Parts: sequence; structure tokens; C-alpha cells
Amino acid sequence: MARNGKRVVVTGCGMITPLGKDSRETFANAQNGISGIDFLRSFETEGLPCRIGGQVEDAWLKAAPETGLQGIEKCSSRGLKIMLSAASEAVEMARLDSVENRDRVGVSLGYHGENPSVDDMLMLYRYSGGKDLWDIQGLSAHGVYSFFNFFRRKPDVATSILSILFNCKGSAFTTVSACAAGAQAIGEAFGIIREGRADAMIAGGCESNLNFAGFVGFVLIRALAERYSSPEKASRPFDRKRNGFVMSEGAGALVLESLDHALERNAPILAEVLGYGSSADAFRITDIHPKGDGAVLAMQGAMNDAGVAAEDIEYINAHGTSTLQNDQIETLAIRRVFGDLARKVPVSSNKSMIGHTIAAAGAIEAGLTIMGINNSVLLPTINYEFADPKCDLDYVPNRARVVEHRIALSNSFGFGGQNACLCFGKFLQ
Amino acid sequence: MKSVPRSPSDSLTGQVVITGLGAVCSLGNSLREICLGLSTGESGIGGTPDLEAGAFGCPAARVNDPPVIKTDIHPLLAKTMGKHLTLLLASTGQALTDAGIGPGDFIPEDMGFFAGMGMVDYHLEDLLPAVVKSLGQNGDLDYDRFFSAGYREIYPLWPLGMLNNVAFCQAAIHFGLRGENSIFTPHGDAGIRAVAEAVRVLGEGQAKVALAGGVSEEISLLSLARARLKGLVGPRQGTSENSRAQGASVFLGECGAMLVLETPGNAAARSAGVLARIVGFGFSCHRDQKTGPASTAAIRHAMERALDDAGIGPEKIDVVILGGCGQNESQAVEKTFGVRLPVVVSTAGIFGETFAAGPILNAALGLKISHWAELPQDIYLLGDRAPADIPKTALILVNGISYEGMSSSMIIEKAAGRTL
Repeated sequence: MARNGKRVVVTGCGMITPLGKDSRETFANAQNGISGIDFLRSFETEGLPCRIGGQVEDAWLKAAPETGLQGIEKCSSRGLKIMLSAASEAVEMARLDSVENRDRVGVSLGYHGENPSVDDMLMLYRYSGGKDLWDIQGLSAHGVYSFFNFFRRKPDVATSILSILFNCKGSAFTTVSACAAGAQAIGEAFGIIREGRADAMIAGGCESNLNFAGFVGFVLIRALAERYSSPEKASRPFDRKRNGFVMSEGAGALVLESLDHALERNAPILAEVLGYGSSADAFRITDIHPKGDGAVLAMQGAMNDAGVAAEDIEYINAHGTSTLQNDQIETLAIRRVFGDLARKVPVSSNKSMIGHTIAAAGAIEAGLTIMGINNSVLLPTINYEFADPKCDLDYVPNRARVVEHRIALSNSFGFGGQNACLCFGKFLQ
Repeated sequence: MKSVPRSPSDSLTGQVVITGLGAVCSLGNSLREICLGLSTGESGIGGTPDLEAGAFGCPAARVNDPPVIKTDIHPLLAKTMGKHLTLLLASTGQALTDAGIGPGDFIPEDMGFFAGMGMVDYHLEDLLPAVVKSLGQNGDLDYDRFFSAGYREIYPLWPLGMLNNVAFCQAAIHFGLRGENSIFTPHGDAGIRAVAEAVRVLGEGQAKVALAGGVSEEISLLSLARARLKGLVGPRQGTSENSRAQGASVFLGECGAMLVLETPGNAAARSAGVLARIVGFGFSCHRDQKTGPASTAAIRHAMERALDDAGIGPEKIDVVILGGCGQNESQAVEKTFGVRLPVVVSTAGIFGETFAAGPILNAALGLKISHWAELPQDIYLLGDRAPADIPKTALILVNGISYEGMSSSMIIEKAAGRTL
């Protein structure tokens, strides 16, 4: 259905989230309206106004494929380790190992690298002397703040390692558009395959900000939910009592492939990528455009790209962060795009159960959107208890709904004003 | 509004032209200044005295006196964006002016924006006061003090310094760019990737004009430490004048470089002068397990794919501009082009390692090469053809190499008419 070039399909889907170790477990728990949010255990939170988050269990992480290469483990950030689990699931599902021409298999990753730890800060203090002086010899000799710390910070190291581990020798790149990065990574991969520059791409996003330095930045700018009766009640997109987002970690990966290539090797086809739109608010770094202009452009762009009209869209997986500003403006943007149809299109936010996984969010939500289409299930927005007059759409409140649907949008809006929207459809031969 | 109606006939990848260029680097604040500096043998390399040269001992090609672009953002927010913002605003503004595009000429959603952004680094001064506030009597960190109160000394907006997209979004605000966009990071391959995505978007009719290019890292304590620990840069004595000419050593450079891209139909409709046509791209990823950067095979593969994409053989290429100065790339060029090498040049010995900006600046300079009576000694490396024989419609292949295994190549064909 895409207007130009090759048709692109999804042949693999993987994820690891606070709700589950893989896509099946995440989807099942989301279908049951379970929250993955809890008190944080990975660092000391006493005294902080927000002490909750969505953590991935260490026991769920899969070991990296054996390569015999030194340094991969040491260069691997937690975000990458999480991504390896998601990508492994997607690659296995797509049977991507069977593809012989690895020069036409690529990797597209949304990721921002690892934050410095408190011990890193101390090390930097010691060797920088707290001034513009730095004892590089001492720093190197100490060996604690090593080469590897710098490289866990670099987003493209994760992409490179994924390329090595999954033997992908085609296009490999890293997108860095904050909360839109995962969706943009998928959108860019879609474009590259459609244009014929690759046969298949592993595309997705990962993030792990549940460390003190990463977390406290968001605490200090008061972006996180601070008023909650219990952790699982804190993320409440579109609810009148929402008061900030809940930080989580996770990863999502899709294997995208040209339809011809997938059919030729008899790969499982989960869905078709119909369209992709991106836009910039070009308004203000710290605020969303008040009329949702950027969100409108991204949704319209994806629909135009897919060649579908508003009446064709049967579900919207919302960005839905549980912040006052986002949820109200996203609602307004949906109303602007869909007009009178807006109240008839079910809209839900996976972040009510998973929290906000930043660069991973768009990829995880893309995967759940596809699973919803294939299982005829609309995942719920949990913790929807108090109606907000400014948020007046059908948010699939609290309980999943069994509804057959074929075409859906998945929204992702990034800090700074970058927006992305993906359009997926049930695969029809 | 001078917007041009979309035409299905424009929707062909490869049918995209360059109509504007902008660049800022250590040699100057515009392409004209940079070219002048090159032709007169100037050097943009200096020490890093304000970053404690005694410790690092690294030369660097910094932009010491960047153009001042007035924005209405809060100074503290501007500080988090650092020099990335200055370099991006300056090069983007120049490129738009060069293309004859002013405010209101296009509706914002028809203007795409794609950039490769070099690594951004958090600012030590945003974090270290929390450590200072939490030191115990013996000079060690008192963790109880840190977690109970010291952390409040962390500058609240410090995470913005970790996001490569913030300066990009500010540039989108400044120039009113609302169309299709994406950011890639951080090395030379990212700059070419940005151009390729802009070309695709234009080819698919999703934008009428697109800005694409790259910005380097800002040279800082962290960027120098990262480069030193990786072994990319060495102390000052490793960078003699001779080795500069041979591109035998690496040092960091600051740069912003942008292109204005559009379809030929769009350019003709608004009477814009065409500088060059983009005719091919190639990408690959294969890490050299010993040295880290893209392997010889990866670089060769990217060049061969770009040639295939352009539908030409290697003998048609007039100029190759290297992405770096490594042995892998030299070997890849020799294997790809065989016994009859085109003119091979490298600017790494002049501008330094400018990461995502490098290939874009090189593409701009490549368009200038055929107008030079004599190539500056510092950039000419080798070749079986005399630089004087480069035709006015030269085919130029530009490489972008990553230190993590990615390699990219772009081929542009200089237009006969317009000169820089």
C-alpha cells in the first residue's frame, strides 16, 4: 500500500520491558492491565520526591551471542544489554540467520548512551581537580574511569556491537531524537528498505536511565510523577490526576524486510509498515507546540505516506506520557487530524503500564501495536479514573477490548520537538 | 510564498541537486574564508591552552571566533547546547542564503532537516559541585551527604547536555523548519547518512527543499579524553607540518557544514543556481577487529555500492576525498580504483577529525577543486591524474568513516554553470 518503492513488512518482533522478558509476556500482562511500575531497587532513592520506575529484571537479560571478541562485554552499556534481548527475540522470530547476503542486512537503533555513575563523577572530580585541569596520565593509570566508560556513553557503539553480534554488514546507524528515537529508527529503516538499499533491517530502540545521575536530572526538572498512592497508580495518561511521567527502562526491536525478500525466504509476516511521518514543532525546546502542530504534521505525514484516510485508522497507540501538557495536546492534535471521527477512534497509552522508556518507547509501542492487530486486542490505558474535560477521547480505559482492527498509528513525540508517527497494517497479500 | 507544486516526476532518488552550501571551521567562518585559507596555506591548528594543554598536549583545530547568531533562547539553555548550536546555526544560515532561500519562501512543513551530530558531552561544571558539596574530611565522597543533599547541586538541565538533538531542535526553531527530519550520530558516516535521507525524502516528494549536513564534536575535556583514550589523538610532537600534509596523524577539529538540497524541477522553478547533482550513495558496516574503525572491506564495499548506485565505473571518478587518514581507507581506495587512481585528497591534516561535518565540508571543497589552478599542497595526496586535468563537471566521491565500523560514500557531480 505504500506509495513509492517496495512494500515493507515486519517479520520479527522482540521486546523486554518492566512488564515482561519478551514480547509475548509483555503483551499478555498489558492485556490484563497489569502495571510494571514499582519502587526502584537499582539505586538509593530515599529523600527523592519520586522513588518509582519500571525496571527490567536482570535475570531476564539474555547472554550476548558468543563472538570470541574481547571488549564487547566491557563496552556494553545496560541499554545495549537490554537491547540484545529484544533484538535476539526479533531475529529469532524472523529467522534472520537464514539470510545469506549479510551485506544487505542493516541495523537502525535509537539510543542515547549511558549516563555517568556517581563514582564516575567522583573520578572526574579527582582527575579534573574541579577546575579546567585534568590529569590524563593519572586518569589512565587509575584504570577506573577507563576507556570503556567513554564508549558506553557513545550511542553508536551499541549499534556497532549489534551489527557484529547479528552479522549485519549493511547500513548501520544511530538516531538520537529523545523520546522519538525508537520510532524514527524504525521509520528510517522503513525508508531504506522501501528505496531498495537494504533487504532487511533490525530496527528499534533501547534506554536505561534508572541510575542516579540519569534519574535525578528528571527529578530536578520536576518532570516525574511525584504524587501517587502506590507505584502502579502513578502513570495515568489522560486521567485528570496525572502529574508527570514514570521513568522506565526497556528495549524494542522489529525486523523489517522487503515483502519480496520475506516471501522468497518464506519468513513469517506479522504486519506491513504502511507509512511513516516525522516533523518538528519548531516552537520551543522545553514546551510542546500548544496547538499540537508538530504532532498533527507527523500523523498526517504517516497517513499520506500510507495512502490512507482518517476513516481507515482503527486504533492509535498514543505517546500518552501522563504529563499534563503532552496528553492534553496530543488529544487536541488527534482531534485536529480526525475531526468528527476523533471520538470514534480508540486511543490508548502503553505507558500507563510500562512507564516511559524514552528512546525505546516508540519501538516497544510499535511492537505492541502490531501484536494488538494480530490478536484483535486493543490494549488498555490503565489508571484512568477521573475524566479530564480536555482529554475527551476513547482511551480504552482500564480494560483491554477485543476488537478486530487492521490499520493503526503509533505516535512518538521527542523532547525538543521532534515527532514521529508510524502506520502499521494487517498484512494482506 | 514561492512554494512549488509537487510533481510525481520529481520522485526519483538520484534526481536531487545541491543549491546551497554553508560551512564554518577552524580556517574560517564561511566557505569563502575557508577556501582562501587553504589556498594561502593557512593552518587552523592550535593548542588547547584553556583545556590544560599540559595534560592533554593535543593540538586541535577549533573554531575560536565563531559567528555570533542572535537567538532568543535563555542563556542557560544555550549553554547546554554549547558550540553545536553555533556551528549548526551558522552553517545552516549560510546554506540557506547561498541557495537564495529567505524566511517565508517555503512553508515550514515543506522544509526537511537532516543532520549528523557529533557527540555531545555533559558539562563537568554541571555535575561536580554535587561532589564538592559531599566530600568527607578525608577527601572521599560521603555518599550519605551526596544522596541526602549534595545531589541538589547538580544543574537541573544537565541531561540536555547528553542529548544530540537539542541544538538541532533549536536550529529548527530558529529557521522555522517543520518538515521531515532526523538526526544521526556521531562520525563521518552520519553526515552522509543525513544527506542520503534528505535525498530520499525529496525523491519521495515528502519535502520540497531539505537541509542536510553535519556538526562536529565541541572540543572539550571529555572529547579530548575520549579521543586520547581511544588512541585517536596524540601529543603535539606527533603532528609536524610534514605529517599534516600526509594526513598521518589525527587531531580533533570543530566544524559545521550544511547543504541545501532540492529537486531540479524545484530549483528551476525558483531560478536557483545548481552547484552539483547527487548521484549515488553506498553504506556498509564491518569493524576492523584490530583497530576499531571501518575495515578495508567495509570502506571498499561502501564505495562500490555508491558507484553501482550512480551507475558508473570507478574510472569515471575524477576526485576521491578521503574520510580520514587511516591505512584501511587508503587500501580500500587502491583496491577499488586499481592502477589508475583519480586525484585523491584528504583534508584531515588541515581541519582535523571533524566527525559528522567532515564529509559535508569535503563535498563543498570538492566542488571548488576544479576551479583551483593548483591544489593546495596540504590536501593533495596522490593520483595518476594531474589535478589540473579535473574537468569542470567533475565526479567526486566523498567518504565518511566511523571509528565503530560504519562506512559511507557519496558521489556528486559538479554542475558546469554555477561556481562557488
